[in-house]
Amino acid sequence: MQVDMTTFVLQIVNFLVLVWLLKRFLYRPVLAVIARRRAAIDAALGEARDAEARARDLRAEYETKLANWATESADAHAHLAEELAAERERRIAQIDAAAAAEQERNASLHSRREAEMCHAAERDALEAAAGFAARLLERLSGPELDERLVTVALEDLATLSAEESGKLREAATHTDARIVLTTPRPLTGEQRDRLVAGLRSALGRDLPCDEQVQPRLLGGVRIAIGPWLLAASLQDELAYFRLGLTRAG
Amino acid sequence: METLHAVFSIAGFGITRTVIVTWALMAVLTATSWLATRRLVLEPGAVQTVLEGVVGAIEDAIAQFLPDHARLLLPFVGTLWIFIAIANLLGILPTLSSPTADLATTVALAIIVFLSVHWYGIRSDGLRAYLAHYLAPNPIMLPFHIVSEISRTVALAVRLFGNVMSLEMAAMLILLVAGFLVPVPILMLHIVEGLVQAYIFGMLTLVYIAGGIHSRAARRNPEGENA
Repeated sequence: MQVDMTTFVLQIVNFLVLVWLLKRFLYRPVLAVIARRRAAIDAALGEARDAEARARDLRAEYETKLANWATESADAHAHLAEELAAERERRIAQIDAAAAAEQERNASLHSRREAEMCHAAERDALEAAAGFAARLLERLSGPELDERLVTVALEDLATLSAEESGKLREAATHTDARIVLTTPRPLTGEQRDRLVAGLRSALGRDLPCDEQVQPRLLGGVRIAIGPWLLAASLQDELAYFRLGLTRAG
Repeated sequence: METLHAVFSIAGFGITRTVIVTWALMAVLTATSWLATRRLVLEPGAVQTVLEGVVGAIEDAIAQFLPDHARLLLPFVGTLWIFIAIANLLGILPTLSSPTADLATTVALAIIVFLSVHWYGIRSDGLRAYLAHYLAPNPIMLPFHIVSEISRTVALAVRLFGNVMSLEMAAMLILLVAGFLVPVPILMLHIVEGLVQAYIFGMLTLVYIAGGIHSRAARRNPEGENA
């Protein structure tokens, strides 16, 4: 067991040099790359944490948006329901108004039709009554009825109003004025005299008198002086009767 | 002894085979480290993975004793482990002898460890606080501390030298007596023993330095002295 001092000293130097060499070429590069990798891993972890935080923020934002959308959707749904209800109410009101108007129009039309039907029925009834009266008067006409109607004509002539009396006298002033007496049957002498006397009294003068026979007058007399006419015949009364019914209807 | 014969001389100093083998080992380690660490990347290949695994394992082993000084002690303790392990295994190769089979090498390493313990201790706690621990818990303990320092340094040197030298000698004797291939089991034992001795030397160095630093980490692991 001998120790060579030269070897001893050189081995000390050799080991210290080896420590420096390995520190320079082995430990430092390897530790540096390990540190770089750890830094890269830390950076990646930091980025991952940042990404996670961003994702969490985005998720929170998304959930907030979802909640807002749900609220807006509910509000829009409620608003739409209100609008639909209002529109339904409006359309129901329109339909009700239209139905009421249609009902009123139908009622008016119905009442008008009923009125027309009533008027037609009345007119038919009056036509029938006029025809019945004409047939009855035709059967009742005769000299006795003529005499009575001549008497009525004279009474009407005697009770003319001042205006009618003026018109009669004015008609009689024409130079070619003549009295035309139209009867269904020839007048008797007594009837003619009474009529001429009554006319003289009403006109205050005498006029030439003509006589005409028209059986369709059924009874009575029709007195015409120019444009002036006094109708006291059954035909004229029936005509007045029909005309009065027509105007009344 | 064979290692005492100088192969050549430089300025009157004889260069033994131990020094030459050590220089060759230093050259190989340096060249290998330089080649392997030229292009380190973040996504390592097989070689870089092995390198990072070795360096990381050494740093973790140091951090178990001295978590705050792992980076500081890594070059020294790591180089001890790597140099002693490879130097022990060199004896397996024909015509080569382990540098650690030379007492001058193991004494040199033990002296370096002895000095490094004081260097790291003073650097950590200061000269006064470091020297004060020799008087703790009582000044009567000072001689025992001094004897302990000397004996453990001698033990470091002699243990490593004795184990490696005896293994090489045993393999050589068996080869001479029994013939070719018979000493293979002894060589297998040499590999294991070489790695174990390197580990023991490095761990004891680490424990001694931790005791010298008197750091909180050293006080938390007082059982490290018994390793």
